[in-house]
Amino acid sequence: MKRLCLALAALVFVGAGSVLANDAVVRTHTLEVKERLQHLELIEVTAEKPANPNAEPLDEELQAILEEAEQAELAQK
Amino acid sequence: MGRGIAIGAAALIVTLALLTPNPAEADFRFEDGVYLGPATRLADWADTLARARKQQPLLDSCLADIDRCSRRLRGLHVLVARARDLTPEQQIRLVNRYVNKRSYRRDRWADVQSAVAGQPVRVRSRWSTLVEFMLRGGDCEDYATSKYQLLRELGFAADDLRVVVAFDRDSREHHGLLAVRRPDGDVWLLDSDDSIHRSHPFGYRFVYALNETSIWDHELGAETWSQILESSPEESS
Repeated sequence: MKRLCLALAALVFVGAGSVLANDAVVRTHTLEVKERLQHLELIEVTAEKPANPNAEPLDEELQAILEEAEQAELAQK
Repeated sequence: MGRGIAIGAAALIVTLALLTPNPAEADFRFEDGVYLGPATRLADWADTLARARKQQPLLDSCLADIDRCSRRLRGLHVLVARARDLTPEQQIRLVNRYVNKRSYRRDRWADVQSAVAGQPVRVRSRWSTLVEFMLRGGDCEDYATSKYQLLRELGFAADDLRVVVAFDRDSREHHGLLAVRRPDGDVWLLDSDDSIHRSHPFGYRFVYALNETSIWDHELGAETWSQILESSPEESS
Protein backbone atom coordinates (compact mmCIF):
# COMPACT_ATOMS: atom_id res chain seq x y z
CA MET A 1 0.00 0.00 0.00
CA LYS A 2 2.83 2.31 1.00
CA ARG A 3 4.60 1.53 -2.29
CA LEU A 4 1.43 2.16 -4.26
CA CYS A 5 1.02 5.58 -2.59
CA LEU A 6 4.65 6.42 -3.35
CA ALA A 7 4.24 5.35 -6.97
CA LEU A 8 1.07 7.45 -7.32
CA ALA A 9 2.78 10.46 -5.73
CA ALA A 10 5.70 10.04 -8.13
CA LEU A 11 3.31 9.85 -11.09
CA VAL A 12 1.48 13.01 -9.98
CA PHE A 13 4.82 14.78 -9.48
CA VAL A 14 6.13 13.81 -12.94
CA GLY A 15 2.78 14.69 -14.58
CA ALA A 16 2.65 18.10 -12.93
CA GLY A 17 6.26 18.74 -13.90
CA SER A 18 5.57 17.96 -17.55
CA VAL A 19 2.46 20.19 -17.58
CA LEU A 20 4.45 23.05 -16.01
CA ALA A 21 7.27 22.51 -18.50
CA ASN A 22 4.81 22.76 -21.40
CA ASP A 23 3.35 25.94 -19.92
CA ALA A 24 6.81 27.45 -19.66
CA VAL A 25 7.41 26.82 -23.36
CA VAL A 26 4.13 28.45 -24.32
CA ARG A 27 4.87 31.40 -22.08
CA THR A 28 8.28 31.89 -23.69
CA HIS A 29 6.83 31.87 -27.20
CA THR A 30 4.15 34.33 -26.17
CA LEU A 31 6.85 36.55 -24.72
CA GLU A 32 8.82 36.54 -27.97
CA VAL A 33 5.78 37.65 -29.97
CA LYS A 34 4.88 40.16 -27.26
CA GLU A 35 8.35 41.69 -27.38
CA ARG A 36 8.18 41.90 -31.15
CA LEU A 37 4.75 43.58 -31.06
CA GLN A 38 6.00 46.05 -28.44
CA HIS A 39 8.84 46.93 -30.79
CA LEU A 40 6.49 47.36 -33.76
CA GLU A 41 4.09 49.45 -31.70
CA LEU A 42 6.79 52.04 -31.04
CA ILE A 43 7.93 52.45 -34.65
CA GLU A 44 7.34 55.97 -35.92
CA VAL A 45 5.83 55.85 -39.40
CA THR A 46 6.35 59.39 -40.58
CA ALA A 47 8.14 59.51 -43.94
CA GLU A 48 6.97 62.31 -46.24
CA LYS A 49 7.29 61.72 -49.99
CA PRO A 50 7.05 64.44 -52.62
CA ALA A 51 5.09 63.53 -55.75
CA ASN A 52 7.15 61.46 -58.15
CA PRO A 53 7.28 63.25 -61.55
CA ASN A 54 7.95 59.89 -63.21
CA ALA A 55 4.80 58.24 -61.84
CA GLU A 56 2.54 56.80 -64.52
CA PRO A 57 0.05 59.52 -65.55
CA LEU A 58 -3.69 58.97 -65.13
CA ASP A 59 -5.83 58.52 -68.23
CA GLU A 60 -8.36 61.21 -69.12
CA GLU A 61 -11.33 59.40 -67.62
CA LEU A 62 -9.70 59.08 -64.19
CA GLN A 63 -8.32 62.61 -64.35
CA ALA A 64 -11.84 63.91 -65.02
CA ILE A 65 -13.18 62.07 -61.95
CA LEU A 66 -10.43 63.54 -59.78
CA GLU A 67 -11.28 67.02 -61.01
CA GLU A 68 -14.98 66.47 -60.42
CA ALA A 69 -14.26 65.32 -56.86
CA GLU A 70 -12.09 68.38 -56.29
CA GLN A 71 -14.83 70.68 -57.61
CA ALA A 72 -17.40 69.05 -55.31
CA GLU A 73 -15.29 69.99 -52.31
CA LEU A 74 -14.89 73.57 -53.46
CA ALA A 75 -18.54 74.12 -54.37
CA GLN A 76 -20.84 75.88 -51.91
CA LYS A 77 -23.88 73.92 -50.79
CA MET B 1 45.39 27.33 -69.39
CA GLY B 2 44.77 26.71 -65.67
CA ARG B 3 44.70 30.45 -65.07
CA GLY B 4 42.09 30.88 -67.82
CA ILE B 5 39.85 28.26 -66.24
CA ALA B 6 40.18 29.94 -62.84
CA ILE B 7 39.24 33.35 -64.27
CA GLY B 8 36.31 31.78 -66.17
CA ALA B 9 35.07 30.06 -63.02
CA ALA B 10 35.37 33.30 -61.01
CA ALA B 11 33.44 35.21 -63.69
CA LEU B 12 30.73 32.53 -63.64
CA ILE B 13 30.42 32.72 -59.83
CA VAL B 14 30.19 36.53 -59.90
CA THR B 15 27.55 36.40 -62.66
CA LEU B 16 25.49 33.83 -60.74
CA ALA B 17 25.76 35.91 -57.55
CA LEU B 18 24.52 38.99 -59.40
CA LEU B 19 21.63 37.10 -60.96
CA THR B 20 20.50 35.51 -57.68
CA PRO B 21 17.91 37.77 -56.01
CA ASN B 22 18.85 39.12 -52.62
CA PRO B 23 16.16 37.89 -50.17
CA ALA B 24 16.18 41.31 -48.49
CA GLU B 25 15.25 42.89 -51.83
CA ALA B 26 12.52 40.42 -52.79
CA ASP B 27 9.14 41.71 -53.92
CA PHE B 28 6.49 42.13 -51.26
CA ARG B 29 4.58 38.86 -51.05
CA PHE B 30 1.64 38.29 -48.73
CA GLU B 31 2.76 34.74 -47.98
CA ASP B 32 6.17 35.90 -46.73
CA GLY B 33 4.60 37.50 -43.66
CA VAL B 34 4.77 35.55 -40.41
CA TYR B 35 1.47 35.77 -38.55
CA LEU B 36 1.98 37.59 -35.24
CA GLY B 37 -1.58 37.77 -33.98
CA PRO B 38 -4.94 39.46 -34.37
CA ALA B 39 -5.14 43.15 -35.24
CA THR B 40 -6.26 43.90 -31.68
CA ARG B 41 -2.69 43.26 -30.47
CA LEU B 42 -1.66 46.72 -31.69
CA ALA B 43 -3.78 49.05 -29.57
CA ASP B 44 -3.60 52.13 -31.76
CA TRP B 45 -4.56 50.18 -34.88
CA ALA B 46 -7.36 48.38 -33.02
CA ASP B 47 -8.61 51.74 -31.76
CA THR B 48 -8.52 53.13 -35.31
CA LEU B 49 -10.57 50.18 -36.59
CA ALA B 50 -13.08 50.73 -33.78
CA ARG B 51 -13.39 54.45 -34.66
CA ALA B 52 -13.82 53.54 -38.34
CA ARG B 53 -16.72 51.22 -37.40
CA LYS B 54 -18.24 54.02 -35.34
CA GLN B 55 -17.91 56.49 -38.22
CA GLN B 56 -19.31 54.05 -40.78
CA PRO B 57 -22.95 55.29 -40.52
CA LEU B 58 -21.73 58.85 -41.18
CA LEU B 59 -19.70 57.64 -44.15
CA ASP B 60 -22.59 55.52 -45.50
CA SER B 61 -24.94 58.46 -45.22
CA CYS B 62 -22.51 60.72 -47.11
CA LEU B 63 -21.89 58.10 -49.81
CA ALA B 64 -25.64 57.68 -50.27
CA ASP B 65 -26.48 61.39 -50.49
CA ILE B 66 -24.00 64.18 -51.21
CA ASP B 67 -26.17 66.70 -49.37
CA ARG B 68 -25.44 64.84 -46.14
CA CYS B 69 -21.67 65.19 -46.57
CA SER B 70 -19.58 67.85 -44.90
CA ARG B 71 -17.71 69.96 -47.44
CA ARG B 72 -14.50 67.96 -47.30
CA LEU B 73 -16.31 64.64 -47.67
CA ARG B 74 -18.21 65.68 -50.80
CA GLY B 75 -15.26 64.78 -53.00
CA LEU B 76 -15.32 61.32 -51.46
CA HIS B 77 -18.97 60.90 -52.46
CA VAL B 78 -18.18 61.81 -56.07
CA LEU B 79 -15.13 59.59 -56.17
CA VAL B 80 -16.88 56.48 -54.84
CA ALA B 81 -19.98 57.02 -56.99
CA ARG B 82 -17.87 57.33 -60.17
CA ALA B 83 -15.39 54.61 -59.24
CA ARG B 84 -18.07 51.93 -58.81
CA ASP B 85 -18.33 51.58 -62.60
CA LEU B 86 -14.57 51.32 -63.19
CA THR B 87 -12.41 48.22 -63.46
CA PRO B 88 -10.52 47.20 -60.28
CA GLU B 89 -7.26 48.33 -61.89
CA GLN B 90 -8.70 51.79 -62.58
CA GLN B 91 -10.13 51.93 -59.06
CA ILE B 92 -6.68 51.29 -57.59
CA ARG B 93 -5.07 54.01 -59.70
CA LEU B 94 -7.82 56.50 -58.92
CA VAL B 95 -7.81 55.85 -55.17
CA ASN B 96 -4.02 56.15 -55.03
CA ARG B 97 -4.04 59.57 -56.70
CA TYR B 98 -7.07 60.88 -54.86
CA VAL B 99 -5.73 60.07 -51.40
CA ASN B 100 -2.22 61.31 -52.27
CA LYS B 101 -3.64 64.74 -53.06
CA ARG B 102 -4.57 65.31 -49.41
CA SER B 103 -2.33 67.46 -47.30
CA TYR B 104 0.49 65.89 -45.29
CA ARG B 105 0.31 66.56 -41.57
CA ARG B 106 2.91 65.10 -39.25
CA ASP B 107 1.62 63.26 -36.17
CA ARG B 108 2.11 64.70 -32.72
CA TRP B 109 3.39 62.69 -29.79
CA ALA B 110 0.60 60.98 -27.88
CA ASP B 111 0.10 58.46 -25.10
CA VAL B 112 -1.59 55.29 -26.26
CA GLN B 113 -2.79 52.49 -24.02
CA SER B 114 -0.67 49.58 -25.19
CA ALA B 115 -2.52 46.29 -25.58
CA VAL B 116 0.84 44.54 -25.42
CA ALA B 117 2.55 46.27 -22.51
CA GLY B 118 -0.70 46.82 -20.60
CA GLN B 119 0.28 50.40 -19.85
CA PRO B 120 0.43 53.70 -21.73
CA VAL B 121 3.25 54.10 -24.24
CA ARG B 122 4.34 57.34 -25.88
CA VAL B 123 4.10 57.08 -29.66
CA ARG B 124 4.30 59.53 -32.51
CA SER B 125 2.44 57.54 -35.13
CA ARG B 126 -1.32 57.71 -34.70
CA TRP B 127 -3.38 55.87 -37.26
CA SER B 128 -6.30 57.77 -38.81
CA THR B 129 -9.58 56.57 -40.25
CA LEU B 130 -10.65 57.55 -43.76
CA VAL B 131 -13.07 60.18 -42.42
CA GLU B 132 -10.46 61.69 -40.08
CA PHE B 133 -7.90 61.80 -42.86
CA MET B 134 -10.32 63.50 -45.26
CA LEU B 135 -11.16 66.10 -42.66
CA ARG B 136 -7.70 66.99 -41.40
CA GLY B 137 -5.02 65.24 -43.49
CA GLY B 138 -2.38 62.98 -42.02
CA ASP B 139 1.00 61.37 -42.58
CA CYS B 140 2.13 58.37 -44.58
CA GLU B 141 0.45 55.54 -42.69
CA ASP B 142 -2.79 57.53 -42.86
CA TYR B 143 -2.53 57.66 -46.66
CA ALA B 144 -2.19 53.89 -46.62
CA THR B 145 -5.06 53.27 -44.18
CA SER B 146 -7.34 55.65 -46.13
CA LYS B 147 -6.60 53.84 -49.38
CA TYR B 148 -7.31 50.60 -47.55
CA GLN B 149 -10.70 51.81 -46.34
CA LEU B 150 -11.62 53.32 -49.70
CA LEU B 151 -10.81 50.12 -51.60
CA ARG B 152 -12.83 48.17 -49.03
CA GLU B 153 -15.74 50.53 -49.80
CA LEU B 154 -15.29 49.66 -53.46
CA GLY B 155 -15.56 45.95 -52.74
CA PHE B 156 -11.95 44.77 -52.41
CA ALA B 157 -11.56 41.87 -49.97
CA ALA B 158 -9.66 42.48 -46.72
CA ASP B 159 -7.59 39.37 -47.54
CA ASP B 160 -6.22 41.13 -50.62
CA LEU B 161 -5.20 44.32 -48.81
CA ARG B 162 -2.41 45.02 -46.33
CA VAL B 163 -1.06 48.22 -44.89
CA VAL B 164 2.70 47.74 -45.06
CA VAL B 165 5.27 49.50 -42.91
CA ALA B 166 8.69 49.63 -44.55
CA PHE B 167 11.99 51.22 -43.62
CA ASP B 168 13.06 53.71 -46.28
CA ARG B 169 16.84 53.61 -46.52
CA ASP B 170 16.94 56.95 -48.36
CA SER B 171 15.09 59.07 -45.81
CA ARG B 172 16.07 56.80 -42.86
CA GLU B 173 12.42 56.82 -41.78
CA HIS B 174 9.63 54.30 -41.64
CA HIS B 175 7.05 54.61 -44.35
CA GLY B 176 3.49 53.32 -44.86
CA LEU B 177 2.25 51.82 -48.13
CA LEU B 178 -0.79 49.85 -49.20
CA ALA B 179 -0.30 46.43 -50.76
CA VAL B 180 -3.06 45.18 -53.06
CA ARG B 181 -3.00 41.57 -54.21
CA ARG B 182 -4.27 41.21 -57.76
CA PRO B 183 -6.16 38.17 -59.07
CA ASP B 184 -3.02 36.99 -60.93
CA GLY B 185 -1.12 36.92 -57.61
CA ASP B 186 0.92 40.05 -58.34
CA VAL B 187 1.10 42.63 -55.58
CA TRP B 188 0.82 46.34 -56.30
CA LEU B 189 2.31 48.66 -53.72
CA LEU B 190 0.57 52.03 -53.59
CA ASP B 191 2.97 54.76 -52.54
CA SER B 192 2.19 58.26 -51.31
CA ASP B 193 4.40 59.75 -54.06
CA ASP B 194 1.84 58.54 -56.70
CA SER B 195 3.97 55.54 -57.70
CA ILE B 196 2.48 52.07 -57.94
CA HIS B 197 5.34 49.62 -57.45
CA ARG B 198 5.01 46.21 -59.06
CA SER B 199 8.44 44.99 -58.01
CA HIS B 200 10.55 45.71 -54.96
CA PRO B 201 10.72 49.50 -54.57
CA PHE B 202 14.34 50.56 -54.40
CA GLY B 203 15.47 51.37 -50.88
CA TYR B 204 12.56 49.82 -48.96
CA ARG B 205 12.93 47.09 -46.34
CA PHE B 206 9.55 45.65 -45.35
CA VAL B 207 9.01 45.48 -41.59
CA TYR B 208 5.42 44.47 -40.90
CA ALA B 209 1.97 44.47 -42.41
CA LEU B 210 -1.56 44.53 -41.09
CA ASN B 211 -5.18 44.55 -42.12
CA GLU B 212 -8.44 44.63 -40.19
CA THR B 213 -7.94 41.10 -38.90
CA SER B 214 -4.24 40.38 -38.42
CA ILE B 215 -0.63 41.49 -38.08
CA TRP B 216 2.28 39.89 -39.97
CA ASP B 217 6.02 40.19 -39.53
CA HIS B 218 7.95 40.78 -42.76
CA GLU B 219 11.30 41.68 -41.24
CA LEU B 220 11.98 38.55 -39.22
CA GLY B 221 11.07 35.91 -41.77
CA ALA B 222 9.60 32.46 -41.19
CA GLU B 223 13.08 30.97 -40.82
CA THR B 224 14.08 33.41 -38.06
CA TRP B 225 10.81 32.89 -36.24
CA SER B 226 11.10 29.12 -36.39
CA GLN B 227 14.62 29.42 -34.96
CA ILE B 228 13.33 31.68 -32.17
CA LEU B 229 10.52 29.29 -31.35
CA GLU B 230 12.77 26.23 -31.55
CA SER B 231 15.36 27.78 -29.26
CA SER B 232 12.79 28.98 -26.72
CA PRO B 233 12.26 25.70 -24.84
CA GLU B 234 16.02 25.46 -24.24
CA GLU B 235 16.18 29.05 -23.05
CA SER B 236 13.31 28.50 -20.66
CA SER B 237 14.77 25.37 -19.02
